Amino acid sequence: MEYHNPQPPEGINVSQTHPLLDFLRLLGGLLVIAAIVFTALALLADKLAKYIPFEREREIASRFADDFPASGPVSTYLQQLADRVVAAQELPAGMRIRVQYVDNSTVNAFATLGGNIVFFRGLVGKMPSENALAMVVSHEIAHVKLRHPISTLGRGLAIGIVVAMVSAGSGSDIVGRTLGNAGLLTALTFSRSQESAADADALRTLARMYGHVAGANEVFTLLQKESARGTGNLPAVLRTHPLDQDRIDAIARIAAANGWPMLGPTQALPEEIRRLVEKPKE
Amino acid sequence: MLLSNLEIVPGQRIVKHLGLVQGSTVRSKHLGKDIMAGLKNIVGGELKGYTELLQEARQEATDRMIKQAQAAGANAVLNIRFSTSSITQGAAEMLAYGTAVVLAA
Amino acid sequence: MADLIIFLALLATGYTVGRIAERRHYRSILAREKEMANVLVFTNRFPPMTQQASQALVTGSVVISEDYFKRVVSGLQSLLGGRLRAYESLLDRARREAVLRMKQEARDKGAKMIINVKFQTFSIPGRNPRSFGAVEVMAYGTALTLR
Repeated sequence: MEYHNPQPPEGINVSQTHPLLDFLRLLGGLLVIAAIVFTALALLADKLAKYIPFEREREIASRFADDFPASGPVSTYLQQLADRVVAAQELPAGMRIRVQYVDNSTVNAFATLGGNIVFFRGLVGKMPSENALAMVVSHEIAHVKLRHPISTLGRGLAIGIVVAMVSAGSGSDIVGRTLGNAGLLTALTFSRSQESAADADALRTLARMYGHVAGANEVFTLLQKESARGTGNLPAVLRTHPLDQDRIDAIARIAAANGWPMLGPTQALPEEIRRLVEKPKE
Repeated sequence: MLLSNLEIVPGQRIVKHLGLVQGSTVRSKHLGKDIMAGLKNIVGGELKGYTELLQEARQEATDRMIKQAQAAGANAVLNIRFSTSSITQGAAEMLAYGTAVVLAA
Repeated sequence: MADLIIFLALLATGYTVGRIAERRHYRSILAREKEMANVLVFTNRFPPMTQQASQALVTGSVVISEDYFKRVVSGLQSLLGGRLRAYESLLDRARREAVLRMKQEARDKGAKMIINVKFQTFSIPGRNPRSFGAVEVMAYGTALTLR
């Protein structure tokens, strides 16, 4: 009997594909799947958001954050303005808007769960007139009216599910966390279509309140001026919105279609308020 | 003591079968090695510390098996098998077992 | 953001160093396999009847760790299922290394043949379920020295 050990050829027990190629293909495939799952869940969240009673949304909101203390003349003024806007905006029954004012130089305003709208001093100080301020207030109220905060929350949950799926599967927290951070950034801002819808609704309200939409015109003139100076100074509330020019065109189109004049007499902010929100000179 | 994982020994006769003998030990890796291994985990490759640790453990299991065989009066352990299993996180049991026999030329 | 940078750095380090190490290991394996070609290995349970030989148990073992790149790739792959290419080469290397070490021991004992070779693969558990990816491969058999 003969005993031999011929050397078997190389590469039978290992795959010959390049590991990087493999990795990229894998990553691409997973991203596509994650995107599909996320889109499906997000669409579902958008669809279902309407059916969540506003009362329930308020409960959720109260669990998330303590109320800012509502006091001071600016706060009262903003609430009164919001009440006037609400009267013109035809909110569904039972939907209440609460304005909260933050004495902080941040140029921002946002709508959040439970009909809470937060205004920062920095933004109010930039407003050239009450009409312009009413436009922004109305825009934020439109978000609440159209239930955008709750569907954004739903989208956040969808991201949470995708992230949990990926990080549980990959055994790597970092992959999941990175995906999560990227996802959260997109989830926490309203989508373009949501912004356009809020714009249109705010415009209608403005026309009903004043008979013209000069306030919107002023807001976007300001927007253009700020963006010409560089996006760094752009109010955060405006930065994430549809591209400036697109947005201005859309506004003009809607105004023209409805016969709302783009110009008209505007009302200045009350002197006392103006003084309070103006940047303190140091 | 002759150790083999064969069932027979060429040229020798088994005159007595003394049954199953086994040696085992449970070992845990220590934190220092764990940290080194954690670092090595980034670039991959052989973990020499662990290789040695497991070899030592296996040697100890074998030695214990030999002790059992000696106590039984055997001069060889045949058909030896090794088995390794994880008991809890970070600990492993090494087991060596075989049949103790008395060989005669 | 810092997380992401660390992650990418680890990934790149794991990939480059791991790949270089793997190439070097394969070269070394091939060279030693040629050198050890005169020690024959078989899985037969019975020794050649024609020859008288003394025998000894020989073992060879190695613990080999995955690199960061392999871990991430296989983690992602395990979401989809299918072939874990990254681990195939890892285990292939480990198994051949174990055989080479076993052959080395046999040669040190003056043996020219190992029979009844068995493999055992043991995945080393980490302190927490996700922490670790190392595997021990052991080869053992009976070395025959011709008289």
